[in-house]
Amino acid sequence: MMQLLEKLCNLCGAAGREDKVRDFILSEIEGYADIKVDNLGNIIADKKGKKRAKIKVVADAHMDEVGIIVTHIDEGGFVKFATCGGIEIPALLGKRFVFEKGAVGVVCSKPTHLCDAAEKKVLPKLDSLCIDVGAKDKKEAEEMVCVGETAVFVPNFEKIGNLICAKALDDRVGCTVLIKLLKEEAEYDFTAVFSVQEELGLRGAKVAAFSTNPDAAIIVEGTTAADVPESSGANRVCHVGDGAVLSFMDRSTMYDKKLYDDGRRLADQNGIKCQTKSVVAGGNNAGAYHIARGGIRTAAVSLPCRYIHSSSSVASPSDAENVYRLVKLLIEKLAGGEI
Amino acid sequence: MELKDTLFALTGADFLGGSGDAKNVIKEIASQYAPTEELKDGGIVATLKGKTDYTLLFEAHYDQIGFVVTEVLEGGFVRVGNAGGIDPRILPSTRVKIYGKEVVKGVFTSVPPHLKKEDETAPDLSCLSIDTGLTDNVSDIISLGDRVVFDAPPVMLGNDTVNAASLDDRAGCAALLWALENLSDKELAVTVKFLFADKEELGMRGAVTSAFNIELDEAVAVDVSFGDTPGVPSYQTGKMGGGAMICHSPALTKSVVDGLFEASKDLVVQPEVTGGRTGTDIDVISISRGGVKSGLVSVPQRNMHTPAETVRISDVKSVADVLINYALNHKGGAVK
Repeated sequence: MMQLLEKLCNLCGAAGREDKVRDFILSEIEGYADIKVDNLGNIIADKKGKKRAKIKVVADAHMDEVGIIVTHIDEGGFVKFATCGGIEIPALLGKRFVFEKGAVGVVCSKPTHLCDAAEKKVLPKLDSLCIDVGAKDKKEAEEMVCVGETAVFVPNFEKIGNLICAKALDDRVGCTVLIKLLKEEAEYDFTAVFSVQEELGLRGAKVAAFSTNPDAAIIVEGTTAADVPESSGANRVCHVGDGAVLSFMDRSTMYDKKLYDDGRRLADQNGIKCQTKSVVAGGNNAGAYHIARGGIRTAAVSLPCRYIHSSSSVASPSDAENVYRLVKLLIEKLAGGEI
Repeated sequence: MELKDTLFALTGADFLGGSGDAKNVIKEIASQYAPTEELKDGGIVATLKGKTDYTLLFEAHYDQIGFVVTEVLEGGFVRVGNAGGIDPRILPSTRVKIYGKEVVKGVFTSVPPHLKKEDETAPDLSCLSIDTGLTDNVSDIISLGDRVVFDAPPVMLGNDTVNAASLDDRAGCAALLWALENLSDKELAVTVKFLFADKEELGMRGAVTSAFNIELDEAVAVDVSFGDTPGVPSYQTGKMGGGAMICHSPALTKSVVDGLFEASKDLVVQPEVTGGRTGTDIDVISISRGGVKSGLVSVPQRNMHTPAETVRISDVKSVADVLINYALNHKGGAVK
């Protein structure tokens, strides 16, 4: 599972430009499901199980990652940009990006030697930032990148200690789990959705929820873990290494209480490490599913990720394993009509 | 050796406070072209004997900015203090290498936005730590004082720009090695020494002790200086791609500066002016022992002291060419 996750994290697919991720996933799951790609680019894969499902269950993971898009190239060859999805200023400063056509650049900042005391205390504004792609002027830069082209953090998956560190763990971990579930035998029929444009406001999930019309949805995600020395108590949200995260509420969704309770109970009964979030924060495709059509019972199973939406999210392989096990179990119990 | 390959070899290695391999990489390359020795303070000196004992020194520093471990925390985190001037605003989610009993990879922490206060203040080093991903036995591997450097191995941006964490001042070291290679088979009127010094980022300490250990008449230091950057007035910067920045400063020797411009008359170079001391090793080399005539040539660089440092290979080449011409022009004691 880690090898697949590494491959997926190292693919580049900013929100709205998921092509490379989609092509890879299609090549992985071909022959394992009845597959279609909708008008927005969502992959909808109907998996045939050993038995017919009592209710229709969809499991969703999004293919896109946070990135940037070129808005302007100035006379000096500097690339101005907007963010696609939320990236904080310090996560941008000094970081490397790779563009769709292969150019590599770094986000520039004024050298600290030339900043006065007041400047050092504030963060620069997004519109003052630019990327150096190594061009000497506008003309040379335009040969390398163009307005409207996206870029993502340079692929950089690696093991650190007992954990993994990579861009795009949000949500290539979800893609990894769904690919694995599609490629192995399933007890019951279910549908996997690999959705687009989550980072732009759950846009892919909105249409996928409509067209798949499920009775229940399970969102497989990466979520914020703040278990760092700089935060304490409930502010830590969830803990890397403490298992899959089942949420009761976030900024996008008040989750189905019974489904949440059943999920926690099933995890306990089956020796799956599971925790919840101690802060009502963040949001994910559940926000689109649970209010689609006449309303859909929805759960979110997440991988705790430190420094999410940065070049270097940190997560635990054992947590990913627990996410996989809990998602598989929830699909079976829902589709089997047991919960 | 191709200049690009030298830059990649030098920035692909690290060096801070005795940890890392960059010093050995330099020693290995330099010794291909001239007798090379290591001084007791870690300075590396390669010598090209000339017809006279008049000694001209070219100098660059091989240490880099970084951190030292000051506290090992629960859960695989460590706190650090800075070694050299660092802008903490760029640190969250930046990758590092910790030179413990083994090299440990890590990443600077950041606190998610929903846990921050409304007012947008910049992070400082006291509210950041490094996540090593190690869940147990951290103290067996990492100790207080272990050196930490940015983990940003070199990449090309376009076809003339290199990005790497330690270009300050490996770019200078690369220029020196290029000059050494190209002067090694030339007849020289003066003896030319190449000094690769340690501990510049800690207050030019390596240059103080290394320069003391060398009998020298004249020195030209090579460091990086500020390249044009949006938000920085153009009068504070040199142009990237504009060639070597040759420094005018009251702290430098006028005849040496004039000689450097004379050596550049067929090259693309640009002037740099500092009002007082230069903030480079030449400030201390020039007052070594009984005094040393001095000059300074710099490589324009963006994003100094960050993992996003960039230089143009053509600018490094321009610096090297200035040094080569200057050495070849030199008539011994003629420079006053």
